[in-house]
Amino acid sequence: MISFDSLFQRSKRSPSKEKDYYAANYWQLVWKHFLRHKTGRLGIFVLGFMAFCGIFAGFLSPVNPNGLDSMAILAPSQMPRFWDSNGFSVRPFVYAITTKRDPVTLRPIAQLNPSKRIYIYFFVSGFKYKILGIKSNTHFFGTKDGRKIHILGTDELGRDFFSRMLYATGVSLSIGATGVLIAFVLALIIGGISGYFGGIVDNIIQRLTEIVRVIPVIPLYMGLAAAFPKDWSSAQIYFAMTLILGLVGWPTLSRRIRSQFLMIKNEDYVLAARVAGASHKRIILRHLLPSFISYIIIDLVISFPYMILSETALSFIGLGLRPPTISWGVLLQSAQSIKIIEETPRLLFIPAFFIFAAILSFVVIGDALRDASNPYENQL
Amino acid sequence: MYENKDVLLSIKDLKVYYSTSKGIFKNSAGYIKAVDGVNLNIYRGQTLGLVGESGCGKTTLGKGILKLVKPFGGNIYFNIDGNSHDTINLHEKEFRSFRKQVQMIFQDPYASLNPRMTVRDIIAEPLICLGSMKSTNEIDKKVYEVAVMCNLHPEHLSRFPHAFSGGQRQRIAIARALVLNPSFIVCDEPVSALDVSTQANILNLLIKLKKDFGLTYLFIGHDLNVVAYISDIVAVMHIGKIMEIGTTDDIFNNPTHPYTRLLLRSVPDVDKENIKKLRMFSRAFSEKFTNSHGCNFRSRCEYAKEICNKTAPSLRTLNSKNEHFVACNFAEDVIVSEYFYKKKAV
Repeated sequence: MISFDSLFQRSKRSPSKEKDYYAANYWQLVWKHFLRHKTGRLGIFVLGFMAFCGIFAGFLSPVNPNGLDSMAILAPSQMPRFWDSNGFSVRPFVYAITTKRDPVTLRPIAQLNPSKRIYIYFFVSGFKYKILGIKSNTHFFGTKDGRKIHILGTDELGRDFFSRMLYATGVSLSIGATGVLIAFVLALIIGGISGYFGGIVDNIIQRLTEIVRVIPVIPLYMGLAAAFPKDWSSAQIYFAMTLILGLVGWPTLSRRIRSQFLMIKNEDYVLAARVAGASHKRIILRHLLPSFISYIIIDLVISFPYMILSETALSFIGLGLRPPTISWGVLLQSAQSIKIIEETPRLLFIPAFFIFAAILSFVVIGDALRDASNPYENQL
Repeated sequence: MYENKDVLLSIKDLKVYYSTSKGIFKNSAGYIKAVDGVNLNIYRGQTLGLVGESGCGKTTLGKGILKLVKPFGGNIYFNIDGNSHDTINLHEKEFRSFRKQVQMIFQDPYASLNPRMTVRDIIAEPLICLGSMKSTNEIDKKVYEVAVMCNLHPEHLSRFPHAFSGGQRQRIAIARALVLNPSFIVCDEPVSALDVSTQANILNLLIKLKKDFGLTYLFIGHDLNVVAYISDIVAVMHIGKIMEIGTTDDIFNNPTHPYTRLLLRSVPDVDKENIKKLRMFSRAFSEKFTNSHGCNFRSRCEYAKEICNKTAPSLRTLNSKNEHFVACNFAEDVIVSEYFYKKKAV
């Protein structure tokens, strides 16, 4: 008697490399091809790093991102170091900040004081935060005596810029992800019905989609964002923003999903499934969705930057997220004054660089996925 | 015809029209008559070969039998368990019991296998959707049996279609069609996408399976040699209509319709010393012809006269044996015409 488990390799993988390739499913092949793409790997690394920073922002940031520090306004960055003219230390330290007054304007000026060291300790307790529902007050690094350290300096209210960047990364990426997800679900349902059933249903849905598509985006954003009541909490505004981004984003995606349905529903293997007596549900779930889900993922990856840019643009003109929520757009908006650009350009350039890096990463990942999404055409 | 034999499938006046649309509101602007009033009887245990140039409605006829396209009119009777069932107006749910009996092998084995499923899952799909087996082990066993019967190696079952050549893929498709033990299989040009050495392989497998399982085939093809090799009866189709039908021997040695002769003459043959200039006129497939009265073939026919513009000839028998039918007003003239092309039936 033959053992079917071993025959179908349910329990163990065949040892030979060639057999591995033959028995590799689609996603294994795509992943193999994707990994050969150098820029794609870099993009995944950058985005993974950002996502990590965003998710664990509370744990990684040493100072409360909304905590004011009147003794360190526009402070320069306190870079951790191991040695200076006073000698070497195994424990990293930063220079303390002392604030002097400008003799002419009497403006406080925060400066590094090389003679005073603040030692950095790991896994210290500090302000309370929540990660994925878990409350904690342990931080990756910080000081023992409660003094604040500003790795990237502070803004004009004395808030720690490093912590703010971490939080902003998380908010901006998550708002993009939620917006894309809402748009995707809407597009999948609307485009799927339109493409699969065709005919008059398709005609009506497409005309309605066109009506949504011709509404100019920027005035629509502005109108919707201006309609937010002033007394909404920042969390409510956050959800309203994701909803707006999703509602504006679905028509393009739904068109693409419809075209995929139209293309694949007449493929021979779908006809063969009908001959085999498969139900609509089985055809859609087993045959249609798996065969174009890769293209949809590419589309999602490519539409991600638009979501992030829309959020950034809206927040930048002051119509999107508002403090105390921190996003890249909020950071850019607060760095608009000529004084900040002149004296502390990092407040502008660091968020701008993050936006640039994130969008570039999405684009190269989308590019690499597109190359890898058809592994049957250029075999290994 | 052939009254004494057991009719498995009887097609009466089957029509499949595709509507053409115009304008932004997709108004119906007319019909393409892909299959236009076809009458056919398919006998149990026989292979009916269906030939014709591309676009003449061969594949649509096959799909119409399987209800993959919605017929415009006509009837299809299945004789199953001694009863005759009209399947044309059945809903998909009621048709399911016939799906087990009627399967299809598609033309392009590269398109007809889902690249995301293992061979085992592909072959098992009809069993899962229509079969009575529920346990995975039973299904595995049946898949294994059928795969071995179709000359597939058992270890192929865990692989994906991308690991296989055209011939192997077509054997997988055959295994999928066979797994429910159907009585009738529509073979839609199953070898035309394969190279010649594999073609013979697949044809012999089809013939062997037909013997082993008592299958009945509708073999659609445009390669006349292949059709002659596998068929018992051959029907010649032209723009949605059957032009001539008879035994393989009759059609290939004694063609009486001008279109059949044109088809046979257009086969390139290395043995032929002086290849006659191919008399194929430009393809006459257009709405103009399908929507007009008269014989569809008249514009390309050397025997066409005034009457051909008015009345479409219906199938009639010419000889006493009652086995050879032809739809031509001047079939007698064709027979006595001096040039007579003889094609060796294999």
